[in-house]
Formats: sequence, C-alpha cells, structure tokens
Amino acid sequence: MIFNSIEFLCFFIVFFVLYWLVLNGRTRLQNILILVASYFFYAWWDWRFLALVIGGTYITYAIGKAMHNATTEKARSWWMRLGLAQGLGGLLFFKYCNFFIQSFTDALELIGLSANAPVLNIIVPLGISFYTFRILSYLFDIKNRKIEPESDWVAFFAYVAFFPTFISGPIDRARTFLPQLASARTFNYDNAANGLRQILWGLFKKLVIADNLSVLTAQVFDNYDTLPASALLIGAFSFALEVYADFSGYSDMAIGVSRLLGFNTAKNFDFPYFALNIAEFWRKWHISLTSWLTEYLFTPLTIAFRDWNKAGLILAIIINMMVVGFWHGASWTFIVFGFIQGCYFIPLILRGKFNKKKRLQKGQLLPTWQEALGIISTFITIALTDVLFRSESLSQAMHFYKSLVSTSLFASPALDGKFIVTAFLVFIFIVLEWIGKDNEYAIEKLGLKWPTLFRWSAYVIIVFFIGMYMNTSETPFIYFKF
Amino acid sequence: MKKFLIHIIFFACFALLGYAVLVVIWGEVMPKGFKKNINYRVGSYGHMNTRVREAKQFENVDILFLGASDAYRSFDTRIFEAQGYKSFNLGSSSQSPLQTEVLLKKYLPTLNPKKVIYAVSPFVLCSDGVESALDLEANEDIDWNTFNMVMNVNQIKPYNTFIYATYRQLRHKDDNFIEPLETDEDKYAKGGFVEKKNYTFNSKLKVATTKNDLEFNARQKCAFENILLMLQSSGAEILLVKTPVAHYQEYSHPLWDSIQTYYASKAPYYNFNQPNMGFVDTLHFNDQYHLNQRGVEKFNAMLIDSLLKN
Repeated sequence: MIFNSIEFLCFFIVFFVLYWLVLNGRTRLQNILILVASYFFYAWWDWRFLALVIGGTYITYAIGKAMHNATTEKARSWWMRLGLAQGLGGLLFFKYCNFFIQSFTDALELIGLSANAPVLNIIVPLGISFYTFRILSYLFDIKNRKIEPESDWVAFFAYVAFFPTFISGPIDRARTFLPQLASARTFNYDNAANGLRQILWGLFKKLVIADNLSVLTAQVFDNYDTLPASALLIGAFSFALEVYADFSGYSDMAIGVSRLLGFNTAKNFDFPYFALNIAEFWRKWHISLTSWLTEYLFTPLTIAFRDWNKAGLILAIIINMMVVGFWHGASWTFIVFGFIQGCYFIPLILRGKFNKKKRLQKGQLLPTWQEALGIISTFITIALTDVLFRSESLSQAMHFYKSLVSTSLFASPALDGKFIVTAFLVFIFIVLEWIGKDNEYAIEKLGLKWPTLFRWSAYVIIVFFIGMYMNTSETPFIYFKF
Repeated sequence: MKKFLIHIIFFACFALLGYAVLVVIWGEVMPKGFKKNINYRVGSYGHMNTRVREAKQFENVDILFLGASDAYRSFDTRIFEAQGYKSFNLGSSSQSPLQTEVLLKKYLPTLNPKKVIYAVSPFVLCSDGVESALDLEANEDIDWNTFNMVMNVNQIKPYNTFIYATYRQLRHKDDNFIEPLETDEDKYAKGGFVEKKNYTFNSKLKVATTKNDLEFNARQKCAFENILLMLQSSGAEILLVKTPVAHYQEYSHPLWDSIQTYYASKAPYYNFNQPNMGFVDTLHFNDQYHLNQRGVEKFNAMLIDSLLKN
C-alpha cells in the first residue's frame, strides 16, 4: 500500500473521515486510531514483522521509564546501553548479518584460509532503519535529559508507528513529535490545503520524474559495458536526479499526509541540487537523517576528537559519512560511497570553510556565474559518487568509472527516443524547483495570490502531467529497501 | 472542514473536466513521442478497423471465430467458405475476454452464429487487456460498453486514449479513414482473416508475455464466464480451441495445466498441439505463436474434419 495507490487512497479516505469527523476533539481516541491504522498499514506490507515492531516499541518504552527512574548515572548508562543493544541489535541482525558473515569469509580467504560460512535467509523488515532511529532518538533524549519519558503508552506507540513516516521517514525526533500527539488537534483549512499541494508535488516528482528517469537509468546501468561514455555520464546524472525525485517525492507525500492530520513532520529536503558546495548539499539532503547523526554521532565524535584539531574534525566527518553510507545498505559500495563523501569535506575543513554557510540569495531569478559554477560542480561530484550507490558491486562501479574515462565521452550517447521526452520533463521539473526554491517545497506558494480558477488550473496541469507521463506499472520507492 | 470538503468536490469536478480538455489538446498538438499515455492507433496491425466495419455487414453466420491474433491469423474464412461454412473472424490483437465481451454485446445479435470457435491460450485469462483495449478504442465505436471495458482494464493509458478517442469520434475525425487491405507483410481477407505473406520461421520473435508471468486476472475470468453465458443463451455451440504453437513443449507452466482444466470444465476444449498432428516449427509457423499460410491450411483442414464434419 504505497501512497500513490488506489488502496492507500481508500484507506486514507476512511481514516480521514473517522479521524476528523467522528473523533474530532478526542485526542486520545485519535491517537488510538493512528496506532491501529499504522499497524494495519504496516501489516498490509508484511504482517509477520508486526510483532517485532510492537515488541521493540514496548521494550523501548519500558527502558525509557527505567532509565528515567534510575537513581545513579551509572544505572542510566546501563539502561541506555541496553536500549542501544535492543534497537541496534535488531537492525544489525536483520540488515547487516549477512554482510558481516560475507565480509568475514572474504577476509579469511584473503589471508589464505577457506571458510564456508552460511548465508542466512533473512528478510529485512520494511522501514527498520527508520523506526530504529526514531526509537533511539527517544532514548538518547531521555538519557541527555532533554525529555521526560512519555507517560501515555498510546502516544508513544503511535509516535513509533506513525504510518505516514513509518516506512521511509522523515525520521521525527521524539521531542518534537510526542508533544504534537499530546496536544489537541484542530482542523486547519490552510494547513490541509498545503498538505494536499505537497502531496501533489510529491506525486509529480515520483511518478513523472523519478519513474521516467528510472527507465533511462536502468537502460544505462544495465548496458554500461556497451554504451559510450557520454551515455554513462547521462546515466549517472539521471540516477542522481532519480534518487532525489524518488525520495524527496516520498517525503513530500509523507509530510503532506501528516499535515492533513494536523502534524508538522520534519523537513527532509531543501533543494539539495542547488547547493553551492558539498557541505551545504549534506545540510539539504535527507535532513532528518543527517541532523540525527549530527546530534547523536558527529557532535559527540568532534568532542571526543577535539584535541586533534582539524584532523579530529576530518576523522569525525569521515566516520559520520561512512555511517550515512552504511545506513543505506549492507554493502561495501555504500561504505565507500560514504568514505568518498567524507573526503569531499577535507578541502573545506582545511580552508576553514566547513562551518561557513553558503547559500543562494533569496528571490534571485538567476544565479551568478560563481554560484552556477558551484551548483554544477557540486551536482557533478554527487552524481559521479552516486554511481557507487547504484552499482551492485565495487567492481561494477570501477568498471563504470573506467568506461567513463574515454574519448567516447564526446560521442553520441546512442539512447532511445524516450530520452528526449525525459529530458523535457526534467527541464520543466528543474525550472519549477528553481522558481520555488525559497519555499518549503517547489509549489508551496504557486498561485496563492492568483484567482482560484487560475490556481486550480495550475494544479490540474500538474495532475495532467502525472496522468500523461506516469508508468503503467507500479515502481517501488528506492528508499524502501533501506 | 465543511469548506475543505466542498472545495475538494468542486476541485475534483474541475480537474476531471480540465484533465479531459488537456488530454485532447495534447493528443492533437504534440508529436507522438510526447504522448506517452495516449496510444490512439486507427488501423493498427490487426486490421481491426476494417474488421469491425465489415462485421456490420455480416449476419447469420455458421461460425464465428473469437480470440487474439491466434484467431485472426489461424482461422481462414476463405477455407471455411470453400467448405460451405459462412463464417466471420472477430479476432483482434491481444484480444482478452474483456474486449471479446464488448464485441459480442455489439455483434452477436446480428452475426447470430450457429457455432463459436474461441481461440484460447494461457495468456488470455492472465492478460491486463491494455493492448486490445487501445485497439478497440481507436477502431470501434465508443459507447457505454467500451467505457465499462476501460473501467475494468483500469489503467491510465486506456483512460487517456478513451478521452481522446471520444473527442475524435464526436468530431468525426476518422470517418474517412480507409485502412489498406494489404501491407508488406499482411493481406486482409474478407471475413476478418489476416494472411501472413511470409513463410519463413522467425524463432526469436516471441510475444512480450512469457509463461513465467502467468497470473490469473479475476476480471478476465469473470468476463470469460460472461461470454460463455452470453453465447449459451444465444443458442450457439461453443468450442474452445488452442491453436498450434511452435515449441509447444515450452508450455510447461503449472498454471497452464490448471487453466486447461478450467477451460475443459466450461466448454468442449480441443488442444491442437498433440505430437501426432504433424506441425513442424520451420515448416508451418511464422513465429512461435502464429502459423504461416501453409500451417493455416493444414490446421483448418484438420479442424473442419475433426470438429465440423464429424
């Protein structure tokens, strides 16, 4: 039941009516409804892991209380470790177990020992990376005395399982989301209309841009050994745009659905491909994850390494980025991806520009040539590194990179006619994103000051583009596998 | 909340209308490659345009042939005519039961067949019905049955094409279209049969649906059962036939066996893929799923001898 399905539409209409028309003003009952609907939503995907989710949530809830009631700092730390073991243990087992076994076997073979380790047939529970980070933030915040443990178990369980963000984020912190669950919600027309607009934009990004780019990307990555370098470059750019449109499209839909229910969910993207350098890019990309890691990993690391000055900062950022990479998938391609991303920060750190925020001026129609250069070079850097993200293995990525360095970079890309149509759609997308870059999402303010007829016409044009260019078959979201 | 719900309803109506207008404009103005989800093909490769025009002139036939390309490429109405059977072939490209049902609702009363030979395959009950829906929308008169069929197929391409086709028909834009009866590859014969001119066997050509993709489509099954009921109530005798295919041994999907059992439970079912029938891939076929004219003659003679004369 993905957001862009008839099943979800039916589910949500029923939910919306119950939530606002039947239970309006009864916060606890609304929370119970959220909880039941969230578990139903999850069970629709795979009911087998529902017990894992409920069990994990209950243990976290109990540990949070025990940690708060602990009388000594040592006891609090032990409870925190237990919570970490419980949260990360599940993640490590389901997502990374086979990777560690395989890597261990490979390492033994490298030193001449043969090992016949079994590959476990483990199915990764959907959304495990996202809800693990959600429950860990709750425990960290209790440990750091930023919040009190939640007294209402329904609210806590609803926070962990909140269906709009459960499967693929954004990763809301307990300290910002639990108070929203505790307070009474009133229906707000502007907020709901804003939510619908954001859902529409998310659908456009996913169905028109990401799904069409996915065809082009697949065409290139499936035939990278026979295509000219110019096509490979287009494929790399295509994937970079695809993954953005796919994931930010999902996030827009999740945030929009949350708005319809009266919640403010964490922002996840801030037009990252208009970033002027790599540091700004990572402040704008998957914000709920990067800010989570900044708070709970990077900042403690920089404090731990503070005596090593710039070297300490470099080490902290490389570790942080490797974790970002590893969070995405249990593969060396992701670890190397993270390592390279971390290395990109080194020049900024050495020149003392790491913390200097560089942003485009608000309201400017066109970038200056220095800004354009910054945007283009950052995009190319990211797109080329994303080859690792898309490749099945390091050797495939290396082959791809080797094939890129060729005189065929100036040859005709030899892609089919659909490439022109996709390029046309991407052009429209980039123009709209650029025009709306000062807002939360591109069409947030589109036509708000126009007469209703014109504004609605603009939305219908977007609906039309979705209907005209969506794929006939459903394409899963890329981040579902993380 | 009330204002929100009222606005949603108004916007939905406005969006439906605006969307339809934009589909028509896009269909008229944009080059083909930019019309990804409009696929309007008047006179496509199955000669459907000519066939439905001709169907209106036929009545009270002895045999009516139904099915996908294996029907209109396998049952040569000229051969049956020579044997004294007045027949019409209402097959069309990738025709699935959803489309057969629409065609029968329209033509069964006038064609009024004594026998119906329905070419069935593992694919028809598993098909999404999109290709044939598009064929029908562009070449057949749009009416309530077509709309129902599009709703049942429930895919964006048939929806958009339906809107565009309705506009074209309301404006009589294709009224003067005459489909050529003969192309480099095919020749349309009176009564709906399409003869392949080529006799060479192309072993690589396969239809997009592979046997591994088979999965029952409940809507197709329901339409198939409606068809049988419709034919039974008209008094026509029904014969379900699996036409010969090359490499028949590749039909090893477990679902195919259950589909055959299902067919046999519904009406007399004949599978013309027995080892003793003597069809040779390189001699009697154009590709994996279609006979060449030599194969058609052999198959039709066999069919007449075994099913019609006896």
